[in-house]
Amino acid sequence: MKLVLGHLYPDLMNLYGDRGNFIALQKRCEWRGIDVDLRRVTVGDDVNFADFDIVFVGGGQDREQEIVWSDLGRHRDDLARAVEDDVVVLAVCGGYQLLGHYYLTPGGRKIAGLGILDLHTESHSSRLVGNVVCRSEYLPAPGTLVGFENHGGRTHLGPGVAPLARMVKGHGNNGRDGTEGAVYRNVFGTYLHGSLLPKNPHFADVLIARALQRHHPGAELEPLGDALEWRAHRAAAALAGVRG
Amino acid sequence: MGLRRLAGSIAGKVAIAALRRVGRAATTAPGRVVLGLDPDFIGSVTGDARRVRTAVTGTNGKTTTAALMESCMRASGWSVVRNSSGANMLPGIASALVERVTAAGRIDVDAVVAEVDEATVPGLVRAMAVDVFVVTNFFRDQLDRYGEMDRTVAYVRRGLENFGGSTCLNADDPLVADLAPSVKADSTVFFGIDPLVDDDEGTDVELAAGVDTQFCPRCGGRFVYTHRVYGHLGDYHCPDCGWSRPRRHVVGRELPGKGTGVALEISFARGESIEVNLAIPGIYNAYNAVAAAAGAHASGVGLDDIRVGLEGFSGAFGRMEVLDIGGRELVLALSKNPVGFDQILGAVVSDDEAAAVVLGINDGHADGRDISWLWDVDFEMLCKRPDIRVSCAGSRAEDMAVRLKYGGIPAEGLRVEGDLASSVDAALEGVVEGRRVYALLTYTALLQLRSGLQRRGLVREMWRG
Repeated sequence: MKLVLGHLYPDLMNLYGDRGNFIALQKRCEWRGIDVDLRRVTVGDDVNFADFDIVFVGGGQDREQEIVWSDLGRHRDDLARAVEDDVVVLAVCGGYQLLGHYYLTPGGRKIAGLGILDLHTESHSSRLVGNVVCRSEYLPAPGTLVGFENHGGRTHLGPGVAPLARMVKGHGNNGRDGTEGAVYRNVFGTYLHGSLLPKNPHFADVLIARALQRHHPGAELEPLGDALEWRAHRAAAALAGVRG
Repeated sequence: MGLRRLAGSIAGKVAIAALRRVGRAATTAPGRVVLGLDPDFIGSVTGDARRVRTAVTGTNGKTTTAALMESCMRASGWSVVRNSSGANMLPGIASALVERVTAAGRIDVDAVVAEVDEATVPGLVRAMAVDVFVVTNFFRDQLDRYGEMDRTVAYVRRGLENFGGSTCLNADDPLVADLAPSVKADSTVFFGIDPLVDDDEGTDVELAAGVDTQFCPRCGGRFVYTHRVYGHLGDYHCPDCGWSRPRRHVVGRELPGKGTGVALEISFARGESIEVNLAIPGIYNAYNAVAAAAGAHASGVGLDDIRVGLEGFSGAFGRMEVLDIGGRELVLALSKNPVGFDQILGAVVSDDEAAAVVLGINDGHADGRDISWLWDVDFEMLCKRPDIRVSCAGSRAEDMAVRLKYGGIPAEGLRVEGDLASSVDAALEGVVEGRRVYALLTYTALLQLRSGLQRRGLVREMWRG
């Protein structure tokens, strides 16, 4: 078995150790004997998203994010088709905002997003920062996600997406409605980094399993020895004041 | 002298004495007391300095650069006050000053060297008449505190817009060099490094994963590097808008090394040059030395004294500081962001005497509460030295351990525990005499470990460090 992992704009959108998510996906495949083909995509590259099994895009600084938004626009239709074909996408922070309809800057300028997720984001001068614990119905036991959030954007979900998780501790999408992240088909958007996947191994495995299902229906993931990962998961929950 | 200043000084002195009685380092609390009573304390008291008021900012190398500048000034026979503990916001600077205030309520020094946090630059420029400002570099650091690196740069830019002295800028760092148009200063001095170059290094060098900036801050175009020193530092130009590295006034040309330290030929604007054999290792310390040379020169220190000052310096507080503990060497290294961490790990894995590494990772406010940056550090380097025993400690020991596991460092036998002091003790016990233990520590971990060692009488008191 083989999976093609695409890392979008690793040179521009790697603000919060997002590289860790990619490393986690790669290693957890390799440890199970699943071949991994890593592809990096950046500004100006030609790409066919149908070739990918998992696409990852992280967060960037405002300046770099604008470079990406203008480049990714030309891939919009191709990416949208791949999403309808159930390609797995993980988008964190800036990458998550990018998948929505638009992003309203602090100066009131509206930057068009890709419109792949039914949501929009308004920027705010105060940032939502801190350790996060939330609970997701998309995950097997214990169902919690732990991470760190740091975003000025307030994201509001439309009816076309479901929240990825409900907040236990932290701010989430907008600090008001108790939701965190968004899910549409196999697209997962979230504000959590930390890095996210290494200490949420169940989430990493959900992404890998969904990617395998496309070409290998019924494929089962071999369990791994995750004692260290769960120890970090519980420690992060405890630091946020939640008993994991 | 005003009554406020007197009241502030006395209260600050009392606070220092009280904290030391209970065995705590007086690095910021006295300054907070002083500034509460006399908000103008920093400006009025530094006005007493006879020669020069200097400041150093930037992501990495602040403490070492400031310490090197002080060393150059002392070689010139000057007396100097510096916030040497690394507490670098206004209360930390005020604490260092109040300690030196005499009974007459003045400070009797030739020069002030203030190491200052990037976000505090506008505040410092308002508070104190800085004559010389040195900016070392901008790397990604503690993002949860300031948002993003662009904002950090904006703080420094805003401070320098109101600054009328001379500015020493790292020309090899495009984000620092780009400050020049914003500076109101009389004179800008650009400094940089020409490293020893390996053969066959091509143009437009592939940049490493942790690199922060490879895009032109002026137009967003992608930089081409004809050579790169490390990270995004090097000789860059932008093919889109034509901007390129400014011409440099102070250049350190790396010479083939003679010992563990770096050897440099530092040339100055008027064709003068000095040859310097630093006692401290690593190309990042070569940058610190050239930054300090530029700052000291702009402050009026002569070239011979700069050479003596740079060569006589053996390490700042917790920056590759070597302690002898029962015949074994413990090396303390502040490791707080990917680029700095990579440099230090590189030094560790190339040290044949290195036997153990303790990674002490805290997520306190001063460390940056977000530890995602651990994933941008090249811990994979440790795989080259399976003989080095690794342990993880601090409030984020478990995150550190997971990072190592995914970096290919065997998880079996990896010691993971919160308590830093006992991790370091265990590492020292497991090492034969003459071998070295490295403790790579975030800022609060460094303070914790050092004050614990100090209580046990194993290191000098920090405020004299």
